[in-house]
Amino acid sequence: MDMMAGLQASFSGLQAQRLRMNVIAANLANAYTTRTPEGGPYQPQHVIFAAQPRLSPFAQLLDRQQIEHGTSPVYVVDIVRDAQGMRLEYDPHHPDANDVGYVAYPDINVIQEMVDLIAATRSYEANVTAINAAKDMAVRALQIGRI
Amino acid sequence: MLRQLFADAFDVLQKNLDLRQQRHGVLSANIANAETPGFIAKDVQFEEALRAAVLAPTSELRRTHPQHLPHTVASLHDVQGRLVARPSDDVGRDLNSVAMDQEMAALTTNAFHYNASTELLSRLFSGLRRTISEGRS
Repeated sequence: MDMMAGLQASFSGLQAQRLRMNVIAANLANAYTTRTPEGGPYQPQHVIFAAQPRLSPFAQLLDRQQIEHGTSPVYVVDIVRDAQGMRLEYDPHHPDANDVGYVAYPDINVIQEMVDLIAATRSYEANVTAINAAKDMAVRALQIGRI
Repeated sequence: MLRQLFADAFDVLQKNLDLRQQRHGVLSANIANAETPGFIAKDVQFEEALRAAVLAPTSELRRTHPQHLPHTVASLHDVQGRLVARPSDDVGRDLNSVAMDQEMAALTTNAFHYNASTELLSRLFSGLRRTISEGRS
């Protein structure tokens, strides 16, 4: 049972980091997107991590038990859009330029996103290491008493 | 006779495996929450209690109900992992106290101790088997 709680925490870590990587990928892909269905340039997105309980009552009960045992999983509770995140660049030939010739691009710092991506990758790997250690422990426990 | 020969070692190793497994879960959660704002790293402390229980003179008294009065001699069966917060001065702006290197080191050491206990248990069993077969196999 304990082993499963630890694994669940690690799996939640994998899931959260993967989602974070997807959001970073979307930010990088849309670094120059000036048109969106909502209108205006693409808005940079950021994930919010929390170790707090989920919404459904059953999941809450499950979470409370895990928090008491110190094995609280991590969740992406929100993906926020940065509505202020745009930068103006002078390009009068661009079709989306305003009347004074400036184009609003999403304010995405590619270097910052790449650093974030590396951090997410490392976190992902750390969770994989924890899962492998748990797996190894479980296999060895099963081999006790084997000839 | 068997009990005298092996019971103590079995009990200690079994308890050690249980507590190591519990600690692994807590350390895994620390790693999963390495970037959760405000998360405080946790740990399970049991090594001193386990050592004290092993070194204490053995007693046959055992608490079978939580409301029984505790007897003074610590028994192996009563050793429990204590969940403690591990705050840090170096929390950074997100107030997260998880230090990844520390967690990975603790995780590896913990898994190593767990694996060592399984190895010792296996050897105890094979010793037992050898005894039963009068040293023939």
